[in-house]
Amino acid sequence: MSGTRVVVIGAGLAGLTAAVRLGGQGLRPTVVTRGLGGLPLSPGTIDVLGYAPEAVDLIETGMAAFLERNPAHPYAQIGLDATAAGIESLREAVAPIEIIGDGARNMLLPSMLGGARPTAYAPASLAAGALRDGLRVLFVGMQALRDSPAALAAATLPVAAAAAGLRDVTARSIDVTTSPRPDEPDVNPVTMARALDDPALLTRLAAEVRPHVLDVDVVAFPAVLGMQRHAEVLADLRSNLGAPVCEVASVPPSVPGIRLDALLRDRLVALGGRVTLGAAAVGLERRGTRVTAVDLDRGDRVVSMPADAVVIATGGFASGGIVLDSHGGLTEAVADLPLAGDPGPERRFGERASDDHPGLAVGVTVDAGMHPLNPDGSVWADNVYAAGDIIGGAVPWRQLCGEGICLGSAAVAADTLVRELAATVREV
Amino acid sequence: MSQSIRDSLDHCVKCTICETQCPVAAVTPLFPGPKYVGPQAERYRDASREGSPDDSLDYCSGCGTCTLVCPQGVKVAEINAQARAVMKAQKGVPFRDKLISRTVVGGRLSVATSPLYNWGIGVGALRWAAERTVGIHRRAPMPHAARTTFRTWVWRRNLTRRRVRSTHRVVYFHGCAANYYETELARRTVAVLEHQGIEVIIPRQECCGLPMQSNGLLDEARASVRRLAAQLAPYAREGLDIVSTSTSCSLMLKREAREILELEDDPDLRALAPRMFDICEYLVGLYEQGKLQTQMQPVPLTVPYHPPCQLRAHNIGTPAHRLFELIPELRVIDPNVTCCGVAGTYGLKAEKYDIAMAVGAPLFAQVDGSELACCDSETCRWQINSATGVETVHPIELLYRAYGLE
Repeated sequence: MSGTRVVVIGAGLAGLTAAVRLGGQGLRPTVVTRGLGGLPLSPGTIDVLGYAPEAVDLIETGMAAFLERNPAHPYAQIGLDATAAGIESLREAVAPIEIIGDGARNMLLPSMLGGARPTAYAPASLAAGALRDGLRVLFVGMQALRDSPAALAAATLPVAAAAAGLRDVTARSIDVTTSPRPDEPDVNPVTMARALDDPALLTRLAAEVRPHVLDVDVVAFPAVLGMQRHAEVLADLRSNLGAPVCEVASVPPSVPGIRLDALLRDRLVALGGRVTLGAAAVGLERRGTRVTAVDLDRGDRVVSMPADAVVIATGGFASGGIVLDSHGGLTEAVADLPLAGDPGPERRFGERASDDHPGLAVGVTVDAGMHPLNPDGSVWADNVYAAGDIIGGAVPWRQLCGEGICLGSAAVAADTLVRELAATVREV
Repeated sequence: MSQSIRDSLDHCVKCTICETQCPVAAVTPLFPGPKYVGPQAERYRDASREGSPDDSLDYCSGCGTCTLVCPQGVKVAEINAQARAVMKAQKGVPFRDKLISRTVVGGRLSVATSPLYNWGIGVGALRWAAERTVGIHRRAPMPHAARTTFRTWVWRRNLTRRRVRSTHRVVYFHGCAANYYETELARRTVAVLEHQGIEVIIPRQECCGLPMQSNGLLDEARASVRRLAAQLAPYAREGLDIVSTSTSCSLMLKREAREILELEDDPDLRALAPRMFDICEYLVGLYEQGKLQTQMQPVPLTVPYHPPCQLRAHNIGTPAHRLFELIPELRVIDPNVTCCGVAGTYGLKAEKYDIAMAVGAPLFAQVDGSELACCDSETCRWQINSATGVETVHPIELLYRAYGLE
């Protein structure tokens, strides 16, 4: 099957995971994407199901109850086994970074605002901050980083932890001045992370923090602890401070997300896959029940890229996978796939940001093999698969379920694709 | 500013992906990043007011990575290119920038005086003087001039009539660098194309105007690219494809002249754009149609291949990788680095040389000690060669060897 042409549209967590899983099964997928995917903006945690809407502790039990109430949710087709398979693909691909979590129960991670955020899996640096009874946290704020309000986090965390059922979580905070660019009032977290790869700057940071490490179970830093030398930076800080160290995710740009994004793309290239940046998929060419090519808008012209199978992982509204035009029309951006779940223009969006927005759950409907479906339940095309947020029925920001859907649907899409492609080749 | 570029900035959601991928912002505090000087500062720029809210704009190298990685389709690099031209028009373009953007004049002079020129660029005292007086860094990469131009070779070739005739004809747009400096690459490109049984037409050609554009001389750039477009467009209208070994110059003809120079309605450019191909892109196209010669001899080398930012901006991926896979025993390493730093003429400038070297440092570290390196863009090849001492060639040169055309 090495001569087969598989195109993955989109380079977010779903697209990249599908691509590396395809690469691991001997295919050499081409990922086409208009820009980078959403991972560099993600906190780097792997949410499976956080709120159903009550906080979920045991994931399998929580999921069962949740799906009973939400039978149209993507997990009804994907299933937790697929999500676990997707996690394994991710783990393998980002190997230098250890992904903590067993998928059985959620951990609660401190947020930069002092919240207690449930998530199923997380990179080791974030998971080291998992909250537990009696935990004593020292939040380190960095004056050079605008989005590290340590005092606020320390004041809020005990309350949030108590509300989540934990006992005696306490927190203190300090603010440090270490900066690679002392003249800049507002240093980009990525600049800070790259700068902390330098042992000299890291030593200065540790020296500033060390006097405050008393009666502390974990020292919580903004998530900027190294880029290329992340593992060494963590180890150095731990031994220098004589205490466990964790990272706390904040607003984008997100260093933990950037690390995962870079490792996934490296892995894809190592497997013989390719990423074509800057090209937007604007159409699928069909012959009968199969798609034969992807139309790519490269800016100067639209070209036809032959394809034996296509994974659509373009994301939802936020990523441009689904478009709302100025006349109120909702369309799937690549191939005008049928969309489900639209409550109509009047009821799509609430008035306030924190309201429920049924429009955000609009997406394609899939079968158990991740084939997009027509409204009558028939398969839209035999060799097209959907993965990630393009699948409708979920509200990831509220349910904290986004990455689990991405990984699970990517695993199913890739495996179905490989199986069906092999069958097609045999038939021919 | 052209409306399509200006409108694209309203799609900016401030996600900061461009900030995190910018190779210049990663190494210097002098450039705060593409989002700040682009979509953000643009809102405060006003033609009726003097000056730009952010002079750091001048430190953008124009590599285009920001536009490429933007998930929302914001033309960040294009916004910056146009804003920089306005800023330069207000402040005045330095003599140095006018000098290095005149590639035809510079090329003719350096070829005419090639023994002297080639000696001069290696003399430390002269380079020091040039840095002090003009502002071209004394260690900046300078290509050696050819003894005779590629055009002279073309003229002789036309006299001898020793050329392939075929119904499959393509036009070769060689650009200035291959005419005055890398004439061997141009000749070998013709040989590789003729090896496919293709008739190669090589019309007279002006500078594409890119060096003027990136130095803020937009009017001069417009005049130049229009002359070039007028020379090539008749072939495109005839249905011939045009191939190029110069990634940045072919990008001008594909897209940039229409976008950045606001020549969207120029009929010649419109006719040309869909017929323009990067040479590797074109050869991969032949391969996919089963029309590429695949009989190749082994090239037992391990070669670091850097797909330059200017190639990536074509939005075609990295076609050379597909060609390398056809060459027996060739092992290609991908250094996985965004930019070599030089970005055309940026890295030549005294005040920017160190930044360019810092941008390219991770690439140079991986190229160091190799027998040969490979890159599609000429200025990048000179930068890599100058920084590492490793001979750096266009992918075509590896195909030329594999075909046994030496």
